[in-house]
Amino acid sequence: MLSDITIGQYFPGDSLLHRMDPRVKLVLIFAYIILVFIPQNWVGLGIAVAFLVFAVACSRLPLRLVWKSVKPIIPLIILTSALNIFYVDKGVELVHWGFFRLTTGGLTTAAFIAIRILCLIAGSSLLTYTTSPTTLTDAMERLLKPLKVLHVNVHELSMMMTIALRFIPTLIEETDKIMSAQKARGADMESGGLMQRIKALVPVLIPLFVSSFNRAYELATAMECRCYQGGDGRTRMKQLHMAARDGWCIAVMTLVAAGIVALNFVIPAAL
Amino acid sequence: MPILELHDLTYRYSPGTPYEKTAMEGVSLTVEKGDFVGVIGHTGSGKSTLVQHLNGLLRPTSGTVKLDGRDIWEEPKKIRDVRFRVGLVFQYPEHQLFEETVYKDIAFGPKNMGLSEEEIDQRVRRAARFTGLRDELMEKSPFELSGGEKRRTAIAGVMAMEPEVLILDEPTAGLDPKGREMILSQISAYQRENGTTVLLVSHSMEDVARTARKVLVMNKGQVAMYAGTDEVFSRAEELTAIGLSVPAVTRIFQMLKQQGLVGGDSVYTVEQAKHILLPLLRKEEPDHAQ
Amino acid sequence: MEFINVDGVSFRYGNENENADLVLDDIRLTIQPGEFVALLGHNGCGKSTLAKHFNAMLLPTGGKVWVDGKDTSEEENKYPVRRLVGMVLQNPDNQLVSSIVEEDVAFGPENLGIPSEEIRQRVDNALKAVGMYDYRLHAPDKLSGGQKQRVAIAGILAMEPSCIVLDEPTAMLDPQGRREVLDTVHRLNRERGITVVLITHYMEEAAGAGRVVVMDDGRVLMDGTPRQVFSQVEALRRVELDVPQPTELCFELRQEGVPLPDDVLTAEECAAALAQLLKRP
Repeated sequence: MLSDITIGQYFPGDSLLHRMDPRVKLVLIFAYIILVFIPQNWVGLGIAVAFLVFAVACSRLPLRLVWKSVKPIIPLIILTSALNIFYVDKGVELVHWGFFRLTTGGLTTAAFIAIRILCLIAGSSLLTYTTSPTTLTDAMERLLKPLKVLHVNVHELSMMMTIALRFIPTLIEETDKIMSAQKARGADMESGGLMQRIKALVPVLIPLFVSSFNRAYELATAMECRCYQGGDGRTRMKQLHMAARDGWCIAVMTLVAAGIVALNFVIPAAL
Repeated sequence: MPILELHDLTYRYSPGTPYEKTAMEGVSLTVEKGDFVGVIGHTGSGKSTLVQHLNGLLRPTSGTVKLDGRDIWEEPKKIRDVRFRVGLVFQYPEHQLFEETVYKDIAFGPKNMGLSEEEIDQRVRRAARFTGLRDELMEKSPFELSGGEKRRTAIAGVMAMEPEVLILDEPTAGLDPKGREMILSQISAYQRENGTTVLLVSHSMEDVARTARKVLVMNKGQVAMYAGTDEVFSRAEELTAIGLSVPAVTRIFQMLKQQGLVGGDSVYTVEQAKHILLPLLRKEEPDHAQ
Repeated sequence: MEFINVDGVSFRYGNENENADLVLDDIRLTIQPGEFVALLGHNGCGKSTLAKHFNAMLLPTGGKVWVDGKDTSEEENKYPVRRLVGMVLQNPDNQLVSSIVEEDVAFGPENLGIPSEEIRQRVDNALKAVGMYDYRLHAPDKLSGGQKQRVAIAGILAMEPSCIVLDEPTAMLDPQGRREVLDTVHRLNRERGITVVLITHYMEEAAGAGRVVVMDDGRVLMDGTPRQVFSQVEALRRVELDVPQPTELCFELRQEGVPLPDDVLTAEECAAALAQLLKRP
C-alpha cells in the first residue's frame, strides 16, 4: 500500500551526531564526500573508512540501518567495479583470457571505487538519519543565505521545502483514498497495456490535482491569517548555536583531511 | 435471505512488520437482503475497515466474506464484479469527481461495467433523480457545483451502478442541517423504492436512529452489538460505556425511567418521544382536574 | 468598549461589479471582550464571509469594521488586527505548515518577529493550554483530527490574540474530536478571557455559547442568548436550521397543549420539566 512508504529517514536520538549543529554537519558531510576521493593509497583510504566507522559509532545507530542505506546501490557498485576490472589495464597481469586481462591495477581501481561509493552513500545517509528534514531545510536556508546577494530568495525556497515535507504524507494518503474510491466504481488499474494503465490514472490524477489546489488555497489563507509576510522581519524559534563539540568535530575532520592529503605525498600511490 | 455473510473476519495492517496492527478481529455477521443497517463506532473501531472488505477493496487476513452465498475471493480476478454488486460510497466522496460533466462522472461506474449506451443513460438519469440533481446540472462541470451538489453527484455515481448492496461511509459528514436532511431522506427513499440492502456508516446516532432498521456497533475491531434499532438504543448504558453518545431524547428517557416515570420502551427520535409522552401527560390532566 | 464593531457592513465579491449579489447586507453587530458568540446559519448565509471581516482577510464594500478601535480597512492595521483576532479554519489538514508540531505553533510568532526565547515560551505555553505539549515533537499527519485542530488553536494562541474566530472547526471531526476542540475553546474563554466567535451548524455547540447570532441571506436574523434564540423554533425551521432535540421535544409537546417552558436547552432540563409534569398527583 502507498501509505507504507515513509518519507524522510530520520531516526531520533541524542548522540553526538544528533546534537551537532546541522550546518556544521552538512558542511562536514559535504567535505567528507570530497575527501573520500582524495586518498591515492591504501593507508589514506583506510583512514577515511576508519573515520566513517568512528562516526557511525558516535551516531549510535544500529548497523542494520547503515546496511539498509547501502543495499540498494550494491548492484551499481558491482557494475562499476566490474567495468573497472575490465577496462583498467595496469600493473601485473594475473589472468589473460581472450579479450579479458585481469591486472592488479584493475583490481585496485575496482576496490577503490567500490569503497569510495560505499563511504559516500553511508556518509550521506548518516546525515539524513541523524537530522530531521525540517532541521536540514533550516540549516540549508541559513547556509545559503549569502546567495541573497544573487537575488535568490532562499527563504521562499526553504518555505517551499518545509511545506512539501509537511504535505507529502497527506497527499500519499489522499492518493490511496482516491484510488480506492475509483476502484469501488470499477476502475481497473491493475491490468492492460502501458497506455491503458496511463489512461486509468486520469481518474486519480485529476481529483488529486484539484484537491492539491484547494489545499494550497486554504493553506495560503491560513498562513495569511497567521501574519505571514514573507521572510523579511521574521525570527526563528530555534536558533542554531555552534557548541564546543562542533568545534571539536571540525578540528578532527580537518586533521583527518590534512593527514590523508599528506599521506598522498609520503606513500606512493596505489592507483 | 442473507445477502452478505461474514465469517470470522480478521484484518491486520502491514503484517510481519513493526507497524503491524489488528484493525478487525473475528467479525462474524449476516446481513439480510433488503436490510437497512446503521454502522456506528469510534474512529478506529474498525468500521471503515469492515466495509472495505465487503466489496473486496481489502482482502481479509483470515476469514471469509460471502456475497449471495459465494466467497467473493473465490476468483480474485473477478473481484471487479463484486465491486459492481456492492457499491461503496467513501467519506467525502466529492473528492473523487474528475469528469468534464456531472453526467459523465455519474456514468463512469456504469461505463466500467460495460453496459450499452441506452442502459447507461437510463441509469444515470435514474440516479440523478434519486439524488435530486436537476437536468440543467448534468452538463455542468462537477467542480462548479455547491458542496452539497458535489456530494450528491458522487453518491449518484455509485447508485448508477445499481448495486445490490449500497454502503455509504459518513455520507453527511461536514454538511449543514439542510444538506444532511436532504441526503438522508434521499437514501431512505432509494432504499424503499428499490429494496436495495443499505449499510450506513455514521458517527451521528441521530442519523442512524432516524433511518436504520438494524444497528451494528463496532468497538475495538469487534462487533459490540448487532440487533434491531429498538434493541440497540434500549441498551443506552452500554453505548455510553463504549463512549458513544446516544441521542438526547434517549438520554431524557433514561432519566425519566430512573425515576420510574416511563416504561422501558426504547426511544430515539423526537417523534417516538412525543407519541409515548403525550398519552402519559394527557391522562394525568383530567385526573388532576377531578 | 466593544472589541469588534461591525458598523453597517455590506460586501460583494468583486468590487466593481455593481450587479453581483450582496453576500453581506448592512450588518450591524458588536462583540464585547470576553464574549462567547456562536454564529449560526446554513451554508451560503454569509457567516464565513462575515468572519473573514473580523481579521481583515476581507474588507467591507460598504461600512466599517473596527477591531479594538482600529479600522480594518487601513493598511497599517492589517497585521495588528490579524494578531489580535486569530482564525482557525475548517480543515485541520490544510492549516498546519510544518511537519513538527512545535515548529508549526512557532510559525505565527516567528512571522511577528518575536525574539527566539520568547517564542519558545509562548509555544510551550500554547501547547500546554490545548493539552498537546506531550505531542510537541510529533508529525501532524500522525495526529487525530481533534488533535490537529488543537495544534491549530495553539498556533493562534502563540500569537497572544484577544479573540479567536473558529470557522466550523468541528465540521470534519468525529464526536470525540468535536468534544476535545469545544472543551478547549470553552476553557480558553473561561480561564483566559479570550473572546470566542464560533461558527457552526451544530445546534448543540451553539447551545453552549453565551450568545447566538443567526444569519440568513447576508443578514442578522436573530441575536440573543441561546434560550432566547432557540425558543423561536418556527423561525429557525423557516431558515432550515435545527434546534437541539430537547428544545424540539418541548416545542412539539407544547404545540399539543402541554404546559412546558419554551426555553429548554439541555436533556437534563427537559427531563426535569417532564418529570415535574409526570409526577403531578
